[in-house]
Amino acid sequence: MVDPLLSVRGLTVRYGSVTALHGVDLDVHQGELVSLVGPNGAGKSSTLAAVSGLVRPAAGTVTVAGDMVSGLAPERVVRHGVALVPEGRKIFTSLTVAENLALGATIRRDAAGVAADLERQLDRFPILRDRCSQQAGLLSGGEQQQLAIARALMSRPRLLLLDEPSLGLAPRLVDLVFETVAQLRREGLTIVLVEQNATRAVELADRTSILRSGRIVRSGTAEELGGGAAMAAEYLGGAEVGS
Amino acid sequence: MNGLLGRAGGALGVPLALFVGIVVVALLATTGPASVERLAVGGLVNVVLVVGLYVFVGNSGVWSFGHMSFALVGGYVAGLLAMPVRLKGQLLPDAPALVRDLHAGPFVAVVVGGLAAAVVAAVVAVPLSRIGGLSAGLATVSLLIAFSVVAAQWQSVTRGQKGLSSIPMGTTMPVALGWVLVALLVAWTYQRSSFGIRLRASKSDEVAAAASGISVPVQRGVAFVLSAFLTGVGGALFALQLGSINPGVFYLDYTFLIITMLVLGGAGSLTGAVVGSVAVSALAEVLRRAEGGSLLGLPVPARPGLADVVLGIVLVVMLLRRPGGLTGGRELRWPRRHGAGDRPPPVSPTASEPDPLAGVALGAGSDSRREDSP
Amino acid sequence: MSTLLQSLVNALNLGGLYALYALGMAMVFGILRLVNFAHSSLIMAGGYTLVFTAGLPLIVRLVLTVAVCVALALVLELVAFRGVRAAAPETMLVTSFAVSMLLASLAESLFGALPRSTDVDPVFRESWTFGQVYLPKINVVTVIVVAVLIGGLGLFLTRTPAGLRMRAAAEDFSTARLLGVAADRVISLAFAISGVLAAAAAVLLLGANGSVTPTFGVNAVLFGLIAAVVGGLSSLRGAVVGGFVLGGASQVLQEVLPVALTPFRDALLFAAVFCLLVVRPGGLIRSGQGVRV
Repeated sequence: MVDPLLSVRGLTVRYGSVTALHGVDLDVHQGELVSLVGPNGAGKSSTLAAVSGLVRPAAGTVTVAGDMVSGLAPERVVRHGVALVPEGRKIFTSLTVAENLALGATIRRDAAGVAADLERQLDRFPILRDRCSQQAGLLSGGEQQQLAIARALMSRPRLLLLDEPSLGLAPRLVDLVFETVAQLRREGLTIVLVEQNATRAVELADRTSILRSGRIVRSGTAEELGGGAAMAAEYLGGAEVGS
Repeated sequence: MNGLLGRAGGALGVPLALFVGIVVVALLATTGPASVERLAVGGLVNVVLVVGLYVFVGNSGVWSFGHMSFALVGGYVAGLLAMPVRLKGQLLPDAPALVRDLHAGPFVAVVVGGLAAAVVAAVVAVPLSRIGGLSAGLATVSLLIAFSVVAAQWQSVTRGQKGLSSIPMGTTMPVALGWVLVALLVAWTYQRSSFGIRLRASKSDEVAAAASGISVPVQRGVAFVLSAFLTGVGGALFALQLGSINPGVFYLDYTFLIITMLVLGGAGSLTGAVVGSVAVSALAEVLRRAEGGSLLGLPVPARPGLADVVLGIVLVVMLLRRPGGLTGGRELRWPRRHGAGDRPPPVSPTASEPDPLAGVALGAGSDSRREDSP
Repeated sequence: MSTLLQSLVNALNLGGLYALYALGMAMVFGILRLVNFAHSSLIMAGGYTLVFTAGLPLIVRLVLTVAVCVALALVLELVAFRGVRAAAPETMLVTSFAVSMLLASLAESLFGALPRSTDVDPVFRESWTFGQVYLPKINVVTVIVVAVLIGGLGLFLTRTPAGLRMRAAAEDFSTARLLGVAADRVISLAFAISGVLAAAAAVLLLGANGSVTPTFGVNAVLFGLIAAVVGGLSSLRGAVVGGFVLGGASQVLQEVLPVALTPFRDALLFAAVFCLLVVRPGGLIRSGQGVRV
């Protein structure tokens, strides 16, 4: 059995006296798309924050391709090939689109490779090419989400963490985001997708883990979970938004 | 807060116990030479000033760097009132008649000084209490500078940089002790009143407090005025102890000293305010002797300013290592099984507030950083 | 006409200096949300460096001054501010206040409380006279130095990768870190730049005053702080604008106030800042914590 690319063991996250995650275990193999679903406050975003180094776990370990990354600062974790597209996109609104993309390549030193990747992302998201010299704050929500994904890809990650990429988008744009995720997976990228739009996330993913109150309560493929819609109704208790 | 009080101590156990502690220290000082007694009185004045600042900062969680403005107001008002009319006629011929003709004894002068500071604070508090955090800190700094400039330039009343002198000295040891007791009782009573409790609620969660019907600005304003009154009293006591006052005394240096005392003891509790002011006064006295060239009879290289260097280091280390101060924001606590007649135990150094720095990666609290463009 | 010109020259000079102080503070505040009172200590250290290097060639003295200011800025960041980075902005404010008082006492302890004087360059004492207009050369030097520094800083921030990382960190620190921007390095760089600005301030202040005391720079920082607050505190462009607004306002007040009130000019300025802060706390300072918009 091949070692997983991302391996999370006993991950516990506390904010003050509140425990957001109680010993979560998660394995993601090379090339896999794993989605994390669950109601608000279940710990989905906390899992991604802990993996990316934004919060320091109270206990547990995170390894990426065998390297321990838990406890490292976020700027160190990204050098292990982990890129997070944060919830709410978090693009730099005062900077131009091109500057946002350039920041995505902060950790890279190969100028030629960066230039080639820039072309690739601009081909993937043609709208960004037209807006390159515009201030990113002027982009629409959907365009900002595309920029956030493109920016994360500029670091040429091994593991892409997507936190609620479809949140607050119009249905047409939600389709675009899911198509993009599917395309990235076809390209062989390993992805962890956090979504409230559980039905589509489950159906797209190779495997899904359901979080509730900081614990993983069930994991499996869409079939094992009884299909996306059924699973959503059963486990999420109507907390699903979107579709 | 239940269980913090001893049985016999009653509702005022903490301030009374603190007062007893202060009296013991002060009486010890009176056994020394007269110079030490004078310093002890100065230390008591500092206790009043620190407790005054604590009433606002400790209960509201908002820092004020401008409280010395109120000490300045209290000091000048009390000094002017206490000065004999004839003397004022000579020194301040251009002052308004009201300033020249009114005269009062030391006690009344101190009370009026405090009240004048409270009135000024009430005016300032109307806009100030609406803001908190960094803005409030900067606004109060601006206030201090503005007051200091006025004191330095209002020649006809303050005599400018020369300051007032020949103020009758009225701040003796018993007077200072009396005012310390008043300050402690006022601070404690306020803190335990429904006003104080509501303000403290807003300190831990301003939004939740506001949502439950607490008007944070009103509560802050009340604390601010009360705190300014005590600070004004402190300033008045200072002027009547030294017999003089000038615009430079209540400026950045004194602000620094008072804040050091409060931070060192722990800004979250009255006990912290008192412990900090006593500890720093004692430390400063030891250091001053070292500056003078001898410490416990041993020769020490004399270095002016050394005392402040050490105090500065102590403060910075405290801020870095123990932001909760010596007391960690706790009040005195009686051991449950002993009678309250026992001496209060030393404050447990392990009982500290959650360390706000522990385990927090920079920027991890993404809420603390909002969008600002360079 | 000539008095108007004279006032304009004065306002420009004063505004340039205020902008310089404000920039140094805004630089650090933008990245760290730290109101750095200890900026005064950097200026003071620069002043003493000039005093103790008297006799050396001017260029050597200037290089040493910059080196000392930058080194002290980096040391302060490492020793004093790194530990309170995650604390509330008010706690950091208290810390920087404590550091500035500590270093002032240290300077007094080492160098004495009396002013130490030195001559930076003879040019600083000369002046031109055009008819009624009196133009000290130091004013021209000040305006040129400030313009060069502002321009250079602008180019650095907009044209270099390190500048881009700084702008990103100033807007959203944690997201910048997610992309690989090293927090320590960006913060050190901000302090180093503030050190360079402090060194320039020290040279210009000393050129004008001729002597240094342990509290050298404290007034500069107080005025820089107001200028920065007027301009929004975290915005560098705002700091420059705030500096010139403040310089202009000082000059206008000086001209229009009745003679009896001119001594109170600074009181009026600081009272105005107080009002500004209470009226628009969120608009001027967006610190995120404890400040309601």
